[in-house]
Amino acid sequence: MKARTIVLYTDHADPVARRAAQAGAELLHLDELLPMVRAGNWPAVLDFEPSAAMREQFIGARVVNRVFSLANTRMDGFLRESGIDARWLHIRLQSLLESAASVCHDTGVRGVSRTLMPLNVQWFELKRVLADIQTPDFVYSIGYEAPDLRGLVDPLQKSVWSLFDWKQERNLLPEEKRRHQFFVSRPQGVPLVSYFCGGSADGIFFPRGEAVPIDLQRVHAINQAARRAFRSETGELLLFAEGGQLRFHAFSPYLLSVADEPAMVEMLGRWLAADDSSARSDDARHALVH
Amino acid sequence: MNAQLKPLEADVARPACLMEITRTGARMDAVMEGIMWARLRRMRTRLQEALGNAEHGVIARSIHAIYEALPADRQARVLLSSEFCESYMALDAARKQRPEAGADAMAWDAESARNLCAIHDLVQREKALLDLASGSTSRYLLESRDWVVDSPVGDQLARKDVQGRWTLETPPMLGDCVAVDLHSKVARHHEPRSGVLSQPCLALDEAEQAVVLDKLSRALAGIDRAEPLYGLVIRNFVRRIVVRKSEESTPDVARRFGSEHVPRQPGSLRLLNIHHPELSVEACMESIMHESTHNFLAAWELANGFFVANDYQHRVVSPWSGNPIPNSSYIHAVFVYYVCHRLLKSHLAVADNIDAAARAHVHRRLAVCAAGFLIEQDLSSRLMSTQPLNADIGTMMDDMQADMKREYGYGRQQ
Repeated sequence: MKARTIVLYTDHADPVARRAAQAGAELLHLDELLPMVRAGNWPAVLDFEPSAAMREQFIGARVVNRVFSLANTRMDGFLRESGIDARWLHIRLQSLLESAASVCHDTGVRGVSRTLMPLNVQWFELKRVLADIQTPDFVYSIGYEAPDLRGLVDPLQKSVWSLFDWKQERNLLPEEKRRHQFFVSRPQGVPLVSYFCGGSADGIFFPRGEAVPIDLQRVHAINQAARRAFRSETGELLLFAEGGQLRFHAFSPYLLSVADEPAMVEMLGRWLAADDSSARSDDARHALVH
Repeated sequence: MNAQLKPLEADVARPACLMEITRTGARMDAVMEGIMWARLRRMRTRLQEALGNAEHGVIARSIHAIYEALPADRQARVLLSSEFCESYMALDAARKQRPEAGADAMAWDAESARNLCAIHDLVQREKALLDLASGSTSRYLLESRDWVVDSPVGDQLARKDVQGRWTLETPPMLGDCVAVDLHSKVARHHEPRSGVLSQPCLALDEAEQAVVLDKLSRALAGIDRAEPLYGLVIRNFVRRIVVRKSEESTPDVARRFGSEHVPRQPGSLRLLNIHHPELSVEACMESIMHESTHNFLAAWELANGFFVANDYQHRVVSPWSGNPIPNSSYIHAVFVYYVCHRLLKSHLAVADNIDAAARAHVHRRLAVCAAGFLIEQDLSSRLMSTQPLNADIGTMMDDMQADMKREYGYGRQQ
């Protein structure tokens, strides 16, 4: 039997949410849960009482949890006014998601959710799954100590949280610039973005328009390792082709680089309409280069 | 077997014994005593190793002679001081990292000599204070260019007047046995890696000193009342509390207050800006307990080996603070937040004069402590270690998490 697909989201521009209705999935914005939450005294902290109908809706469903950030939601305003940490929203959401048949993307705030890890953790976690993957060399200093950059080639200071700024870092907070400084070797080679939906649909594209021959089987293996490591049935990866090697730089569940790629749009639609979260049917196989 | 002997049975060589601090059961006394003796023996072995190194020559011979002239209790004070541990660890690191030859070898030689001299200096200070207590001013003091000389554990000091006469003093003490260090070189040291000691050091005036001491003693009394065993943990595993006053105000409230413990200085903890009236006694209780739990765990690690190799490149995002922290700090954090949660909950249950603001603060802090445990992922799975870990460690972390999830009904419909 085809499982109901529910996309729980916070950002109206989210590429998955934008494709969900067309694909026959149900859309639920986080703010629709607002009438069901209220500030409670410790130990409740945040009371969450979804309706019986909503609980019923989630039982056995295939849930795509796109609650990555609460920015620009009324829920965020409510939590701030109530003095409640956003962690408690994710804690309460878990009680709803537990009845689902499958959940795509971890619950939790940035750094807790395995879908939203900083760069150095991403590199470590991907290596756990795919031991021979290349990742950038980096130096991470402690406190206000000056970093020793002698081992890096063309050092670039980055925010550990900034996934896609590899020419010049634009997201470095003043505090990060001075404290716990994080440096990487500036990427070499040709950048490419690989993306995937489920277990067998992959695509790549070259953001600078400069294409080089790529081993698509290797891309598939890297995508699948990311799928497992970052608990994501869909996502995009920034890789650099260095000669015959691919070096993994970052994973992002946001899909912002590929949101308007026609092949990705089609792939997302097929995946959202699929019978189960693994989407392993043969006709869903794609290996697109564009 | 006599049931009364059971509390003394605790295998303190296994990490699992550390769970006693989360249960505060009958075995906790035996665990604390076992850890302290194990650490003392380990530190004595470390000193023997340092003195047995033929390259350490005349300085090692002198350290040995002075150390042997100390009575056993004074020897123990040297061995259990943060200063000895810090110098020993740096000496050991220099020995291990020194290459055979070249400029780097000379740099490591200099590091060895600096730390050997530091150990020589600290045993001399302990001996000089012993001599002064019996009315004799040692050559060490007579030749010293310092005006104040303190004991390695920080609980005694000698002060020189303008006539060159030295007298013994005792710094302010907490719970009769923990030195409150407001002025020493250690307290004024600048340390770039430190969140507390990297802040500019300002002098506390007399009124502020009184506020600090009053707040600390009320905090300890609160801990004693809420969970007496935690008061014992503090008295047994903390010898020195360094208090730093920094900038009067900063727009970043999170950086206005702070506390820390560093593994190379077991027995010490550092507090930042606790003289501020806006920092409550309850907040101070939590800071002291937080850092004392680190000290308890660090004492076990010093005696039995570190939970995980020291690696600052791999940092786990703390589910409590959101900061990337080394694996070792992360393992400690699981204990620390569990213990602080237990303490604050007990405080709410037993404190009879807690006002609304303090109660609200404790509720907020309990929510913070709990939230880090109530996550989808197993806490142990987040460790970023390439080396196999003792199985007890992951089990302990996940047991604490499971316990907290049960308490808060995590995942269950409300």
